[in-house]
Amino acid sequence: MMLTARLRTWLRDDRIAALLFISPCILALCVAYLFPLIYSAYLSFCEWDIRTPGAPIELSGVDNYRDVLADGQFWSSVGRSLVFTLVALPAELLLGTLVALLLTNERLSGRLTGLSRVVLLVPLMVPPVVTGILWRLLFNVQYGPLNAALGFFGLNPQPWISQPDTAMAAVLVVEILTNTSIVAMILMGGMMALPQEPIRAAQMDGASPLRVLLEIKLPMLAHLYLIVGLIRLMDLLKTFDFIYAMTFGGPGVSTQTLNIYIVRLGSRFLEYPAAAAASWIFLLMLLPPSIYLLLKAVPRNQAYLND
Amino acid sequence: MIDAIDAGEHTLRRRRQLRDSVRAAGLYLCLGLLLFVLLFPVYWLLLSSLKHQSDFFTSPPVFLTTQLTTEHYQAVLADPFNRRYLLNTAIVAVVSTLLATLVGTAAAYILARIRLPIRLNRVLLVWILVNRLFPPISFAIPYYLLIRELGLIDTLAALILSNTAAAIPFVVWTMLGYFQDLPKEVERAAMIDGCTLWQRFVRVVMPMSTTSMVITAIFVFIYAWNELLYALTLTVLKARTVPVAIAGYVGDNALAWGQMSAFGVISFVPVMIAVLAVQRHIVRGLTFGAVKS
Repeated sequence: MMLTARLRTWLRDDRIAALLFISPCILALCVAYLFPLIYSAYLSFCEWDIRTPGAPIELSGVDNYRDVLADGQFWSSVGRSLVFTLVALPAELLLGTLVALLLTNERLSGRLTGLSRVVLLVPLMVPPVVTGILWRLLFNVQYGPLNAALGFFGLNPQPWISQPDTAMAAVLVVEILTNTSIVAMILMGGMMALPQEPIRAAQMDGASPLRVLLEIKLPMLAHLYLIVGLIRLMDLLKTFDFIYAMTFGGPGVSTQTLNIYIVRLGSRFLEYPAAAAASWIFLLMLLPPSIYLLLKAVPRNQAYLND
Repeated sequence: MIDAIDAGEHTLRRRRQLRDSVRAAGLYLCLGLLLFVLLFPVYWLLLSSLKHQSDFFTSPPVFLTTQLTTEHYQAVLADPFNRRYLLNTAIVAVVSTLLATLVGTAAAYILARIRLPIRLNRVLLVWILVNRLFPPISFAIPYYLLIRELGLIDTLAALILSNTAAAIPFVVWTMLGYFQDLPKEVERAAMIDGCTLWQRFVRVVMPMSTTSMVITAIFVFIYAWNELLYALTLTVLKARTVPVAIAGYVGDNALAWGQMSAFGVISFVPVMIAVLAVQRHIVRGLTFGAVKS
């Protein structure tokens, strides 16, 4: 009796309850992220011949890191990941802004833009795997509609994803066409939530739409741009699904980004420790800029209820 | 004189009207182009899923036809494995969505409302969000080994755990922004009335936040429904999901384009229904609390 009473007062304490509230989240992230991450750090310093059953995991120092860093394919994959990200990110932000402006434009019929906002979601609804195989069909050299359209205009068919020179560009096109939607959608939400008074006031003063955009709307959306940019940056660096289905890094290694490289190391060659080492090099390159950006993007809290 | 001014104003107005309609036409043209780019790939998928096998290998391809067939759909759905994959995917997606939304919302609520000791609010928040950054590949292997130790290989539980954990950072991020914008007065009043944290969250905050939670949940659902990498590494046969099955069509040399497309359309439908159900709210629901008015 005493005990349950004490337990009850204990549970009524906001701080105890708060810990109970937040612990499932922390627990899940520990099991699914923290532990595997530490384990992979350990594995990256080990030698392990997975093909021999019962082979022991033995510490081998920095051998894996040396091997990965000496592997030309690792560095070319890093380069491809960077190109992929640094082309797609600005393109998606720019196109996303234009689409958001178009779909919030008051000159267009509201019913039509409303409908278009729903259509905008379509690329996001298609599973990335399906996006990958779908574009294999669209890019198909002989039977694809894209080459048929080229033929209609009297141009020669192109072997888009079956030749190394154009494969990366094709992958980028698909990425940008798919994920400009999420950028546009988030920006549109921001544009619609903007306070109208300063915009109206500037319009009354005869400011051109471009100036209203550049000097009033965009500065108010700066923080949202930081968040959208950060979300896209993280997701671009992780991109895997649709490339896996569309080219699996090929032809040759022409679309092999770092993610595909690590999967190939791990699943095809069963080099788990080397794959772990490559992952850690990747993470160590990503973490400092990401944490810096996150600290800037995450809002500081003003006041808490228990202050 | 006055006539001349009138005429000048008249042509000026005419010119402005002309310029306006040219602009509007330009905007409509852009809109049309956008809609075409967004819809054509999906149209092609739908068309491919309904085409006769003989229509696939013609050059130029068949863009429009009335010769349609449902044989590809029948073939996909007649396979008991495929039906199982669909059921697996549905269970995994629904359960992970519910779990991630609840767990993430509760965590976000605490981080937004209760000051924890030693500046834990910010530390925990950044730690939670940083997890979103890690490419799943970087720990897919150790995670696989962990799941194997737990005896959970080829079970839905393993996929539910991984999808839930993977979605939590996103839920925390969106819901935190929402809670920070939510006025605290009602909760203060409830506190004065002696409501505990639990009562405040369940009776006061959750009912006010359903729209935001539902929109967040939809995005988690899309993620979990489409997830490929974990499903690829953690399942063998029993717990396979649809994305893995669809990816399986790629390797085959005899390309079953019709079936592949039909399966793609089938896997697209639940997501479409979920999104259409909340589309009115989606655009305004994802501002991450970043626009201060």
